[in-house]
Amino acid sequence: MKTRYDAIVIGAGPAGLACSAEMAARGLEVALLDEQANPGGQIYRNISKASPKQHAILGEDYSAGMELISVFKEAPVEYFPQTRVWQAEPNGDVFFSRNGGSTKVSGDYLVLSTGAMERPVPFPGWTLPGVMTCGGMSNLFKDSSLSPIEPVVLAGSGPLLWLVAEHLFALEAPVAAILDTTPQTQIFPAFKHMPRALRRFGFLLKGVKMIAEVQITALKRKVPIYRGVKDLCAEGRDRLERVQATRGKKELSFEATTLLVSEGIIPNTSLLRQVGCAHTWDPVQRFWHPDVTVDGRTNLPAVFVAGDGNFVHGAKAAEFKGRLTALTIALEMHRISRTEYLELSAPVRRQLDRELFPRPFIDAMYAPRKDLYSLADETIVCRCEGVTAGRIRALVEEGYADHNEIKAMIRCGMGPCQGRMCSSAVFELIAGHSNIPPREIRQHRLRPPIKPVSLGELANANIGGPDES
Amino acid sequence: MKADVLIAGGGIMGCATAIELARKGKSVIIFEKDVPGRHASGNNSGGVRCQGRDVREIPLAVEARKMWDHHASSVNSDCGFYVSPRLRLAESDAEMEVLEKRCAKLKSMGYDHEVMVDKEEVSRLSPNVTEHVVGGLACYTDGLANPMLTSKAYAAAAERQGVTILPHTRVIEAQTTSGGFRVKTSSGKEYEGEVLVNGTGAWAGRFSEMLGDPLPVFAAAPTMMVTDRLPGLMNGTSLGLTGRLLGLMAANNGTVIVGGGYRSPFDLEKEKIWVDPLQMCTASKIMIEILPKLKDAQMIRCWTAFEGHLKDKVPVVGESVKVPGLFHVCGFSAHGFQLAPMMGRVMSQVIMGREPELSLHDFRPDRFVEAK
Ligand SMILES: Cc1cc2nc3c(=O)[nH]c(=O)nc-3n(C[C@H](O)[C@H](O)[C@H](O)COP(=O)(O)OP(=O)(O)OC[C@H]3O[C@@H](n4cnc5c(N)ncnc54)[C@H](O)[C@@H]3O)c2cc1C
Repeated sequence: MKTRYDAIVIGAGPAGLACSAEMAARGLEVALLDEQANPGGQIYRNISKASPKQHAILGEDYSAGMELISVFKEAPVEYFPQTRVWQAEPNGDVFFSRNGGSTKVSGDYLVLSTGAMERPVPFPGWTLPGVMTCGGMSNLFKDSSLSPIEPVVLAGSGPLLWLVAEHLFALEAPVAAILDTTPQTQIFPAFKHMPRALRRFGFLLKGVKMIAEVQITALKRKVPIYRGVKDLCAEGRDRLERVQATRGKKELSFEATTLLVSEGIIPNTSLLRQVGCAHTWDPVQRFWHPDVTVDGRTNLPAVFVAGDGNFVHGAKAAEFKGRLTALTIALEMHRISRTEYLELSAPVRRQLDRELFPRPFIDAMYAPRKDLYSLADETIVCRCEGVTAGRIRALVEEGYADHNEIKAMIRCGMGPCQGRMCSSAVFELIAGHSNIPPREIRQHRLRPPIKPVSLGELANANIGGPDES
Repeated sequence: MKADVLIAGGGIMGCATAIELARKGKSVIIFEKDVPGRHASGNNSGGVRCQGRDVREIPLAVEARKMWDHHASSVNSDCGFYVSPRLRLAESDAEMEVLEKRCAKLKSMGYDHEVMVDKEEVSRLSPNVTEHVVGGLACYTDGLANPMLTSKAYAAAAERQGVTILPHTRVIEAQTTSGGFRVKTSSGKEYEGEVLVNGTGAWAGRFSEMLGDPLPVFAAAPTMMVTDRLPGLMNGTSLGLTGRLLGLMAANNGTVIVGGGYRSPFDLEKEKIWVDPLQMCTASKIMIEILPKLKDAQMIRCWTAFEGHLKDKVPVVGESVKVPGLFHVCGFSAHGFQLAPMMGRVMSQVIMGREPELSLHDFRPDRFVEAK
């Protein structure tokens, strides 16, 4: 590995792959750093090693990634898998651990394409072994063809819930129930976005078809599907034994050893916030996303953001955003002329626009429901430090409205995950119990290392420069 | 608006001073450009230690330590304080001599809170410490507290005593008048007071300049790190070194708080600090040498905050010679947290025109002028 590149891309999902390949094609020296063992990110996870059976189950949306991978493999990008980036700086310095040591590499440009993550939502029992996210299940299958052989319940709201249900049915997994928590009235605010969404009729139809097929299979296999489900609760002594919930006045209870939850996808902003990108609050989907232009620019001149890290738009959009970002950087580095830039970027922009037509509809349809964070006092919010909703709420009611202060006082967000799992919930507790509008609430601050690094790795560091202190 | 005393800075020094003054019947207004505890006071490493402190501060520190046992009654919160003996390790005979000298000096001043310990006692206190350590100096009464809880408790106690705290209010202009001082704030208002206190932490140099009594206080960003939970590894004993930069504090939840003089680059104007990863690497190397079992521990976070420093590493405490009525309490050089309760007491004494209960001679504001 060299110590300096024209551009360093972090994250080898569709955005990072497309971006690094495009930049390399324009003559830039590019390094791509990623935590996983193989390229593909979350959506195309392990795709280059996946078996025909995995491809068959995961379907054409997964296999579509093959083309991207093959273009990437042809491109002269220096690719570094199993590389954990734990700090990045606005000047283009990137610090990471790999093979038991830590190193620094610098780029004239940084592209952060660290993707999205599932919205972590606390509920009673969510810390029990056996409770995991739909995406987590999907990863297990992509990595090692694992799927549950004992009763499994799916609960949540959004397309991922149905997608994973479809896969589990195909795998003949013993699905005990599907609990859709989307409020049934949510379709109304979504309606106004319908005309625009219909411009991608095929795409919508595909989604509707998928859900319909899951319902038909469920009917055939006598798997109950409940809509408008509330009060989800995981129970068990040392691990999950039972899933409980309510549907109107009816109480639901299912024996299960696995509960898969999904409450939507939010941008993974850890690295973005650590490096200092400015963020904006999205009032519909209720998350913070970085301020990014369509060509990937942020408030920091050397830092670009591409893919779902900037807004959750899905794999295809991420790929287009990656390419646009690449072209912008190539233009800035004078590797292409302005005319070439316009010529090359116009069709990508058009494709991206098309890709985005249905998003406002989907975002409104699957917006986090109002009571998503109406947490009972005893529910644990910070898993690392065991801090309950009640303790956080009590401080907010006393007048504390800064997660950073609340964290320093009662430790929520102070553990190894650095608030990754609790900051959405703490934020909603602050928003819900103070009079401060969400966009004015001080955001949780992230300090390096954004992922734990072993002292051994740090001690074996080779990052140059004398110690000045 | 008027008050007897105007205080710039709502950190622990400003609040401690205000509490004591209000108890003695003075009316006090605190101006805080952010919120109490946003800077050094709420984000330090929480070390309540006499160990390793400059001997000039020892009389104040020993008195302050007693006050840490009574916070539940004085500020209505125990401030998360608990005892964690602090052991300063000697890695060679030469270092052992340095510690012996300090111990003798303290004894001559009448203090016995720090005692020499041999290798055997070192392994009893801290069983995982490496072989090459030859002995150390132990302070069994040192401890740790929660800085944010402490800062908030001090601010709340001040308000309960009738002090007015104005958050998000920066002093942007200050001048002397016939009866004292007039200050103008970022909210566009003016305030008058007989006395003005400079408790502005890292900004104290600038603040004193505004009043025509420039102090050589400079800002720096001490940098701390924390590990994951390592139950039993530290055995509840905090560690320091004699010849190298390292302080390891044994938090009661099992994490190790690492510091000891690491700093990061910053921009005071923009209030931004960039954590320098080299600091983590350097600290990790030394940590593993001292406690080899730390090799597989994880560094989970770094943090840092602004603090006012002085070249001679002790604070400025007392009345300005150039501008009578202006009192400084700043430049704590990354070890003011422990001293805070005592600072409130002596500051209130000098502001009320009394002789302080302990000499503040070593901390006089004009010592730098004399030195020239
Ligand atoms: C990382 C770190 C670790 C430390 N560890 C320890 C330790 O283990 N043990 C120990 O004893 N000490 C420690 N210290 C030192 C200790 O935190 C400080 O000495 C102490 O908190 C200083 O208190 P203060 O009130 O002067 O400063 P601050 O808390 O910084 O307060 C000053 C306040 O003044 C305000 N201000 C500035 N200018 C203006 C203006 N013009 N108008 C209005 N307001 C203004 C600021 O916003 C600030 O809130 C550490 C410090 C740091 C940074």
